[in-house]
Order: sequence, then structure tokens, then C-alpha cells
Amino acid sequence: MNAATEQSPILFDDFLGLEGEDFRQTRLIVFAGISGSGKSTALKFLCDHHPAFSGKPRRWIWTMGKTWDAARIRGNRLVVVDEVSHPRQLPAVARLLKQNQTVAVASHLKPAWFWPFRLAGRYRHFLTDHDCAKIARHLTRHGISHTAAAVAEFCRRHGASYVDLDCILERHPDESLDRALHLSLKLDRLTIERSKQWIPVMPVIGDTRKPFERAPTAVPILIL
Amino acid sequence: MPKNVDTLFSFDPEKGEARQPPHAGLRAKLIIPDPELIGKKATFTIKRHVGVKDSRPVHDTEEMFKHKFTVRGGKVTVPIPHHVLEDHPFQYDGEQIEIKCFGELVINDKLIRKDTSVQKDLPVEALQKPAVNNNTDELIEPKDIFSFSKNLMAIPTHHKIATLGLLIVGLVVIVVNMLIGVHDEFSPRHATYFYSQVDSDGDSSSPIVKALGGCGAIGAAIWFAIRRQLRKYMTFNLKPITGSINRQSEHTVSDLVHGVSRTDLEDVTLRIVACNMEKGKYVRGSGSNQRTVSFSTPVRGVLLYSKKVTLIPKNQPVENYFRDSMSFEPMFKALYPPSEVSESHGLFIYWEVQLIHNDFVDQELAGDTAHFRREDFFTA
Repeated sequence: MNAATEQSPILFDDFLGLEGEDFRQTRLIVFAGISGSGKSTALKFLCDHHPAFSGKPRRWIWTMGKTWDAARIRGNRLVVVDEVSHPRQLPAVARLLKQNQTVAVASHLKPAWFWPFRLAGRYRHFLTDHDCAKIARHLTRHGISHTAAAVAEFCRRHGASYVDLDCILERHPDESLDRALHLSLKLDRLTIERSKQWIPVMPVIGDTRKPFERAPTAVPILIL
Repeated sequence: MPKNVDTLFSFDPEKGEARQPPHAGLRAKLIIPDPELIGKKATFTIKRHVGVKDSRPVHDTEEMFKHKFTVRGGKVTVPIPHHVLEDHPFQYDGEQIEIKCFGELVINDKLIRKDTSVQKDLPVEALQKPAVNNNTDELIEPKDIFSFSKNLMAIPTHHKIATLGLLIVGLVVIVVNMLIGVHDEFSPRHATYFYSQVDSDGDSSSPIVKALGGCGAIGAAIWFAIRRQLRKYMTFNLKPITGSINRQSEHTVSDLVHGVSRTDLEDVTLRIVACNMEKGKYVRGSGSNQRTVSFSTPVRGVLLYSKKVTLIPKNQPVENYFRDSMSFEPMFKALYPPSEVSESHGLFIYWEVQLIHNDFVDQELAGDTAHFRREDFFTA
């Protein structure tokens, strides 16, 4: 469950402003959004770089879409669950909450599924696929010209997904996002592969200290 | 240990089905010298395979013929049915895909490990097409340059009013939204109108940031609503084509399209272009983030017709200015025949009519390829 390969280091864009968040009293942290929008990278940042969790006992669980035995996972400062895609996995999350201080989850479920967990204590919910500004920054970093309209159109069609963006730019290199998007709409089609068997890939965060990466740009969306 | 199985193809016209030259009588001689394989189940299959040239490809294969048998001796002769070759399968090595036709013999002699097998290319004629020097990307998808203001002025009045209405309403909503954001930012917590200064967890949050996000969403929605209207400065459609399109047939361009513009069109170019379209799939992403990219890559672009007209007055049928004759013959000469293994894999034919204008959004109409006969792409 916990075996994973590692990918090459990526620059972390803290568009959710995680570094400035105080998670000391938080019991459950949920990152929701389409695949490729940065949920696992946000979890990795919490694990390795956030002052509340860095250097403390942690545990990372790759669920591979299945339920898991939570009985022996106890006493950790942070347990990361990557990822929850079915409600039948929620009882195991509840057990982890009972036996550990904080649980952070990458989720494909609707936020309402996590409402009962509010009884366990402080709860934070972040959406990773609603921020167009992070896409614009990603393009700027790679020197790809773009208009705000093209970024908005990309996010409308694909969500703020780095994976989809990279697929389109790879198909149409040396083009602006505007033209690459136009060509992609005419010639290509992107589909999300729902594979039952896949090799987990642990994100590797490179330099987290670039000044332009630090300002959170996502509008905080919290479940009331 | 290798078992030296082999496949040999040969033609024997006398044994072919009547009236089916030139491939009548194609036979596959399967050579299975190892006596240990006698009594084993075997399958001989003719396949058309689309291989995607990528580090993480998704290939596709079509079975054209399958023959199952039990090995009884060292040589087995399998007559290949005529339908396999009547489509003139050919090998193709393109930019992003390659297409191969081959016979595959598989002998089921292993319970766990890989079965004994051999592949041999089908003896098909080499298909050579002349070199094409056009910039296919530019031909099939020319860069669209247009003037927003001129385009806006050219759309119908009710669309113009709707667009301006959208602009005004959007502007008002944006201003009001920002005023509320500023008010809520600097008001006491109990006196905010819409945006709270705290979130559900009691943490502080900025009403101005929330209002800015709302403004961005409103602005994007208005921009895309306007862009949808920009093509409405004219109607432009393909006329139905009767009969087939072949090498000899001549067509009047005005019989292919119909359109009327609501504004004068100056320096407008009408082009008819065609190309082969290589289609396939590959995978990107990792872990649970995998994406399958279905691609279409235009290659071997051919310009079939191009004419620039200085002025097409408004409300005049566009086709009246293109009463020229044109032929699809250059397309048949330059393009490879379609070789489609599935909807997503293979080599396809694509043609379109383009109306290119520097002030307005270009018009593009994809043509129907059902009128082409595959055989016309083979003859010299």
C-alpha cells in the first residue's frame, strides 16, 4: 500500500496558502479536485514542509481505490490518505482520526460526505482545481505566452489541472496557450484514465522558497 | 529453445477465386518443423496494426482474418480469403503512426510462459506517393487574425444589443461586486453585506480577494459569450454533394458552399484544402492522474483551390464570387488512401473549406469524406 516510485522534483506553487495556515488544532484536512490539480503535491508539502507536521511522526497511505486496515496506524502526528474515491473508504478515515492527531485526505468525493467528521473537531476543506492564477503562473514560469481568456477557457474545459495543461502544450509545442488550446479542441481529445492497477508516484517538491510561489491566489472555499 | 516455425506467403492464381485479380490465390504456408508441436492448438491471424510512435503508446489492431486449427504435420497451407486483400492493405510509416499488415502464427504450447509464435509481413505492394512540401499545419489551421471591434460591428443588431447588454450588465455587476467587497473588507464583522470576514472555522478571510475572484469569473463568462457571437457576421455552409468525387470529376466551387455576409467582406480568401490525418493515442501522467491523449495529426497537406476576392458586398451570396472549376485530383495523387483500424487509430482523409479574412473570425467547414472511393487513391 505504501510502495511508490518518485517523480522528478517540481516547483511547488502554494496557491492555497498552506504555509500560512495554522493546522495545530485541525483534525481533518481534505483536498478535493480533479486528478492532476495538485492534491498529492499539497499533501506532500504538508508532510515535509509545513511546520505543524514536518519532522514529526507521519504515515502515508496509498489506498489504490480500496479500503485498508487502519487498526495498527496509530499515534501519528499526521496520517496522509491518498486518495479517497468511494464512501466505503470513509469508516477507515474515521478510525484513523480516532487513533491519530491529524488526518489529511486527497478526495474525489463530494464535500458533504465529510460533514459528519466535523464532530471529531476542526476541519479544513480545500479545492485544488478552481484556481486559474496558478495555471497562469505555471505558463509564465515556462515562458509560454497566454491571454487571461485562454487561461479561463482552459480552466472551464479541463479544470485547473497541471496534467491536462502539460498534455496540451506537449501536443502543440512552441505555440501560445491560446493557439495550442484552439488546435487541441480541433484535433485532440483528453480522457482521464480510470485504471484499477497503477503505480503510485510520490511527488517530490523541489525549491519551495521562490518568492513568486508564495502568495496564495486561490479564493478560499470553505464548507460552511 | 527456438522452434523455427515460419510463415511463407505465395500466390497461386489458378487456385484463387474467380474474377478477383490481382490478389487471387494468396496462400500462407505455415512451417512447423518441431514434432513436439503436433497435436497443439494453433491460430493463424492476419492483422492490421497501428503502432503509435511514442514512449507511452496506445496501439490498436484489427483482425482481418482468423484461422484456428490443430497442428497435424510440419506444413499447413491456409488460403487467405479475398476480402483480406480487396481493400489493398499497405504499409505506412508516418510522423506519429505506422501501419503494418502481417500474418501471425501462434501455437498454444505453453501453459504459463509465452506461446511459440512468428509474425510475417503480408506481401502487399509498396505504395509510394509524391513528396509534399506544403506546411500542413499552416494549411489546415491558418492563424486566425481578426479585429474585435470590426467583428462586433458586423454581427446582427439583436446580437449586438445582446452583447452590449451583457457588457453593461457585467460591468455593473463587477462594480457592485467590488464595492460590496471593499465595504465588507472595512466594515465591522457584524455589518458586512455579502462577504464574511471569517470562514466557517473562525479564521480571517478577505472579502476583497473573494470579490476579485467573482469579478474574474464574471469577466470570463462575458468574454466567451461575446466570442460565440463573433462568427455570426455571416452564414456559411456546405451544400450537399450528389454522387461520388473521383479523380476525373470537376466541381464548381459555388456548388460546394453557400453563404451570405451581413457586412462587406474585403480581401477575403476562400481555400479548399485536404490532408491525411494520422490518428492514435498515447498516455501521459502518472499514478491515478493518467490521461489518454487521442491525437489527430494533419500530414501531407494539399491546397486544392485558393482564390482571393477584393470585395464581396453584404447580403450577396458568397458563392457567386467563386464560380471556378476545381478538381480533387491533386488530393488523390498526393494523399495515402484511408486505412482506418478504428475510430481512434489509423490514417484518415480530411478536407475542409476555409474562408479567411483579416477583420473577422475565419470560417471553416469540414467536408464529408464518404464521397471518395478508396480505389481512386491507388491509381496513378
